[in-house]
Amino acid sequence: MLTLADEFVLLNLKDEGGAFISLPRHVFAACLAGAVLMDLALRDRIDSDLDHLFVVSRQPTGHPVLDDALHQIAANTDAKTTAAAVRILAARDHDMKELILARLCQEGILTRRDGKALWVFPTRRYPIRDGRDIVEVKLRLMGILLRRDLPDGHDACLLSLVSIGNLARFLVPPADLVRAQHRLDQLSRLELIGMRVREYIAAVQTDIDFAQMRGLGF
Amino acid sequence: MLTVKSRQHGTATVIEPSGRIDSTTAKEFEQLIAPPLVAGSHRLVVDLSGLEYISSAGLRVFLTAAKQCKSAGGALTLCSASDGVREVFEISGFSSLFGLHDSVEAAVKVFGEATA
Repeated sequence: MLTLADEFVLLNLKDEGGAFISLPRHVFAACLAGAVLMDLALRDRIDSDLDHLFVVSRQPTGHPVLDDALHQIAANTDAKTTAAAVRILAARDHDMKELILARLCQEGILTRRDGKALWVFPTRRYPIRDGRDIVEVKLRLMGILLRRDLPDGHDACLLSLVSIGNLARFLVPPADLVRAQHRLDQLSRLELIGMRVREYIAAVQTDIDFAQMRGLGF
Repeated sequence: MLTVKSRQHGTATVIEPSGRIDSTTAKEFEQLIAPPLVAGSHRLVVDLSGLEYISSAGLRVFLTAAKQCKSAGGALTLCSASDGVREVFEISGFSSLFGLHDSVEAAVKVFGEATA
């Protein structure tokens, strides 16, 4: 069964060719961290409210990405808020992404293609080999966004990530995008962790903007 | 600590949780809220006046129950939250999605019923 983190990674791959949609690195990292936290919450390992994050069980889930994240959060005394946990896990985004992609390849969902751009620069793509799971996820999300189905806890988490990553445009036909976006705005706050991911991204973006302005001499 | 009472109000079932709904009580709340749904009552009003605290785990139970109600042609709506609990439901968008009313009577009107 796919985790939220698996599904988020799959939603970031283009249907044609298997290249990644170009999300800013800090947005992808924060969303992936949020997805892992949501996975842990759905498995009753952590809980959160508007101010705090609690580790409620250290029992391993059996999934290496989730268990490593649980260990990091439980061991880090600073991880008392969702924002802090997002920051800690976002710093490990590369390792988490690589492990998730390797597992998806191992399970026969993706296949890895290494190549070179302009005969020099190494490139890597992940074309979909078995698209049944991700097609099912996309159909479910379309149903929620366009037919006004209600999401369950899992899909509420995924929708918050779709909203933060601005991925709705890859899920619904262009003619339905405005309607879908309106519905997404309504549903994207149902998961509290998603709200903190959004705030973390905004804070990082402010830092980036400030650094750029300083670089330009303002 | 969580207790849940339920009563009929016309064709709606009013659920009254008291205490905290968090990771330790969410499963219990899910089981306590289930009997009306199993019994075919799919118009639920959750009276939040006795609820002192709710976490993410608790919010997910509301979502599951609302989905079950909607699937059966009914609905779930909320009422009478204290300020702290109201803030959680408002920030998370639950109040705009399901409605958060001032009283049970106002909530029941959503279902088009005369108040009892």
